[in-house]
Amino acid sequence: MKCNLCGYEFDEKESIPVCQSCPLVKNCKLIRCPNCGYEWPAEPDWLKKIKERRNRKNVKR
Amino acid sequence: MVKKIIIVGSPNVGKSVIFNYFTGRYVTVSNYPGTTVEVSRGKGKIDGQEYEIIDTPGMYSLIPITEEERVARSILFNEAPEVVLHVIDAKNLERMLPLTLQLIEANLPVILVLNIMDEAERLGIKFDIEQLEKELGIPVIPTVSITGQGMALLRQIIKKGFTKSRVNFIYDDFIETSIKKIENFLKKEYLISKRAISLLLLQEDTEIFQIVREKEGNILEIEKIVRNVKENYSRSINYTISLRRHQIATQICSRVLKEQGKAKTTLLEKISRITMNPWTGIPILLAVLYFGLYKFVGEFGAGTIVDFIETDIFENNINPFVTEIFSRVIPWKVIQELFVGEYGVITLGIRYAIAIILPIVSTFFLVFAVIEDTGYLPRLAMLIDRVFKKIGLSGRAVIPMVLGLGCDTMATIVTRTLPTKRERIMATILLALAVPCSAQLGVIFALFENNPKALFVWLSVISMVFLFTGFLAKRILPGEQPIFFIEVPPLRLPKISNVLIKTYTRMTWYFKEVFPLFILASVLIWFGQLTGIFELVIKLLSYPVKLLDLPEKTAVAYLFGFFRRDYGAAGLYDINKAGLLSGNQLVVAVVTMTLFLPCIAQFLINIKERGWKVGVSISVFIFFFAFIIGFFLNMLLNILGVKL
Repeated sequence: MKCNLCGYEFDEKESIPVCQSCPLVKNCKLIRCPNCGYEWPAEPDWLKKIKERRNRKNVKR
Repeated sequence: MVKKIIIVGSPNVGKSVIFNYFTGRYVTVSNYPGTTVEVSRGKGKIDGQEYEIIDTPGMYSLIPITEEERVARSILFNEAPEVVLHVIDAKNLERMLPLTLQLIEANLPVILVLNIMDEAERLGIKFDIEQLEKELGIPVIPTVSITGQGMALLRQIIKKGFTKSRVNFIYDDFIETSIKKIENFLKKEYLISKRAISLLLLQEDTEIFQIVREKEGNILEIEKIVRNVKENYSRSINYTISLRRHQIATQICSRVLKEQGKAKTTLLEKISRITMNPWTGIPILLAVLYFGLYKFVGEFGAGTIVDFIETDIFENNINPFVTEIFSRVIPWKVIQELFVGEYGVITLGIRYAIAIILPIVSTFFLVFAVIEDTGYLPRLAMLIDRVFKKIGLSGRAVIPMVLGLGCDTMATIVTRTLPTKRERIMATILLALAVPCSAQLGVIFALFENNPKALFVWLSVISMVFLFTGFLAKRILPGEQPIFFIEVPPLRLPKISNVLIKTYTRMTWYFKEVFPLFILASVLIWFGQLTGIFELVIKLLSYPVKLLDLPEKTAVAYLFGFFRRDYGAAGLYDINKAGLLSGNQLVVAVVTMTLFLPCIAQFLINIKERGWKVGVSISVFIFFFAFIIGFFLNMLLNILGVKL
């Protein structure tokens, strides 16, 4: 994924270690750019599944 | 012993197709010992030579986060491969190259498989394969695994054999010196290079620490080096090393991705430029604020939607209904107060969350999603950066400020990245003082519904406070060049689906976060009322409030604001809606609230990040400063005879 603020490309998993330093909560479901700290909420799983399914269909085509 | 080929890479890059190409039907799938992670192993022949082919679970880095990555790394480090095929999606070369660098650093026999080349070509991406091979010192094979394109060449390279890379990727001097020092302490033999082991130790990989401890025995000196490095960097070493690898990957990509030729300047590019120029960018920003936030959030979100939900649904139906039910069912006044009293869980907590905050932040998030999707945010950061430089503030302070518009608490954590203590303190003050968070900003625009003059005065005062603090910073802080680079993506028209998804995810996240807090605040207020603490705090707050010529009830909103910034703003919204505030009082109250103490979360973070003394001092300074500014603003408006 790409940060909407600084353009840094990273994988969702890379944002996890950044969140470990947060003294508030670790389960806020926010994705935090490891480069600039910009945050946005993670998409819900059901939406991800729909997107994945659609991507798979597009690849097959 | 059978030679091994290990296939590694991120998920969804075509590893399994390549695995199937080499193995055919001779495949076994079993759990990796001691884990639930499945690993596929198969046998395949290349020019008569038998190989064991291992398809590893998806991995992004040699520093594992998930169990899958741990297994993939374990296979790589312990099975002495003859060949490591790093399969990457050619479209994402820059993002995936850091793992290739790590594999090369580990002295593994790597071949880079640039897979899904057809899609990359369709996107107009062209590669200088020879140059990429030179840069990395390893064979690079472009493939389209699902059609078999490039696979014969891959087979040929494996058959012929190749030499391991001798390319060294250089980190900064301090890290390089530390790597050398650690390498000197590593006396035993390892299956990967000592340089890679040293880097993993610097990145505080606990598994590697354990392996090294078992092999070397006493590693106190190594631990000392790692501690020393850690103390010398404001950011984590893991991040510093990863960032350097990303920089190397970017540099390599700039040399191997062929240019597509210069295009003509499009209309969107022209608009993009004017959004970043301070002379044109600031009026554009004001227009975005006026039409996007004031008109849409303030007038539509607050004016229409809140009016409907709050008045028609809550005030006329829900509140009288639940009050009636509670007074009938529950005989105890104290419990009635908890749920349906003046500050009750239902009559205040739920009403604020659903009837006031939710519609306002929903419309705000919708506008924000449009702004985000167009790519305006990085341009806004560039614009602020330019303005900051003009007033002498360090450019790198831009990021916490922009982040503060989302959430000041998180932005305060990001101030860690500022190099000097002075800068960190200054940024923390600015954030706590003059940067309203997104939720508060939404409600503020709603408060000024039908009163653009008051909005203008508020914006002017807050900007002046911000600039004043900026000038103060110019005197106190040395000007430094920004180290932060922002990639400015092309300006584009927002996609409706993206905007809706972003708005939905933000709304659900926000509501889940805010709802329990509003309930908790109502319970705390109820408890405060029972014990008399609430009245005492309100009485204390009412003195400065009276000095501002504000109704005493405004003190309650300021107390709410300490729970959450938007909660306080909602309190003001409620008071304003009841017709208790004139235009002048409204602007004085909102200016004071914007500058007022940060929410409890930010207060705690200030203390955690800056220590007790500084954290509490900042809050005390802000408390008095907010009321002093409010007091002078009120006086000025009265002297000038301004009626807003």
